[in-house]
Amino acid sequence: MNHPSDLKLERHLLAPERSPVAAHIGECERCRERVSEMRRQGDDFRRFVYPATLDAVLRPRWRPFRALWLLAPAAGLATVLLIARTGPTSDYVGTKGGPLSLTAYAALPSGARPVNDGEQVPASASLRFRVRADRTCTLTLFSVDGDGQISKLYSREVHGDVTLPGGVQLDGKPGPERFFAVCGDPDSVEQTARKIGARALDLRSLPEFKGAQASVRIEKSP
Amino acid sequence: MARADIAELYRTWGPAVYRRCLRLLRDTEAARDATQEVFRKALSSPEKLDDPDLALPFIYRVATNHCLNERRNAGRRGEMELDDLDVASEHPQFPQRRLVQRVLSRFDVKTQSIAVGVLVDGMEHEEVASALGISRKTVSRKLARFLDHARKYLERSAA
Repeated sequence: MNHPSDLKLERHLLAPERSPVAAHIGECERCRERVSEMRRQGDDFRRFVYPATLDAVLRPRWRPFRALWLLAPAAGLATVLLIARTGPTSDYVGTKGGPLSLTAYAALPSGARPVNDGEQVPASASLRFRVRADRTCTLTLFSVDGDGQISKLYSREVHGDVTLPGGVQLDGKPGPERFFAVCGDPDSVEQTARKIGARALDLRSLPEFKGAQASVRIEKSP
Repeated sequence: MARADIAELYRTWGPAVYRRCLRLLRDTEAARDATQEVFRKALSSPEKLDDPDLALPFIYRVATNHCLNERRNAGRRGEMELDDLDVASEHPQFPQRRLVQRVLSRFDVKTQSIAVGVLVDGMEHEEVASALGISRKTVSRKLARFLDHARKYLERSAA
């Protein structure tokens, strides 16, 4: 059986109603699975890749402290570019202390502001992260949502005070989500996180993991 | 082009670029980096991105070339070993289930693109020709050469 190529499936995703391969996909489990996978990857792009890379696409030279965020307002009617704040306010109490700290910033129509642990943010808001590591570490930033879905966002070496490039656009689904910053082998971090799953929502750190850690939980509001 | 227009084009075509890069690089972080670079390259021909009929084959071509170069360069720099590519269609002259990097890297990027299009993506020769902007005859000729050399290389490696 000849299956449509990815290029044909891309055309199908763009205009399913005019797709010449729609009938085949309807009858072929393998192609339906591939289309579902492609949709998931498209969602990942919109949620993680787009916010993280838009700045680089718009600007040939990376200037981390003047990064622009693209916001997708809930109504989806317009996009607004905001200048990201570069640091927390002096009275910010989020997830400070220890060898590693993590600060999340939400880009809101009123401006970018740090998010306190447990605070509500709009479910479609963009977030940006800043970490401070006392020692050089391979940092993995991932999130776990209410369904236990683990999303790996970054993995890179950091030292000192670092604003992570780009950002993350939340998925628009109301509910809790916790973001973890963990120093250590990225594969081990990911495996540990996947093993724990949704339970990680209620944990401030991954148990039995020796590397420095910090986390912040948000409540995505409709 | 205005920044808002670029952002909108990126939002429209970025998913297809990202999926193509994931398919060829099989690594989310490498695919993320490649996606932004591919799109910046694609922006050099904004008129193609504005035309829905031209945009998809155009970004497919740019992404394929870029990612195949990335695969080759990663090997040369001795960086991470990228996973070999799964062969989608059975081909009598290429019985391997995977298209291994050491075979692929012995050919120019155009030949690599053709081999990946036919063997990995399962595309017809005509579709590959259309997507890569070359003649069907070129596809057949380069693919035949690739299969012949690849088969000999694999036989030598096995011996």
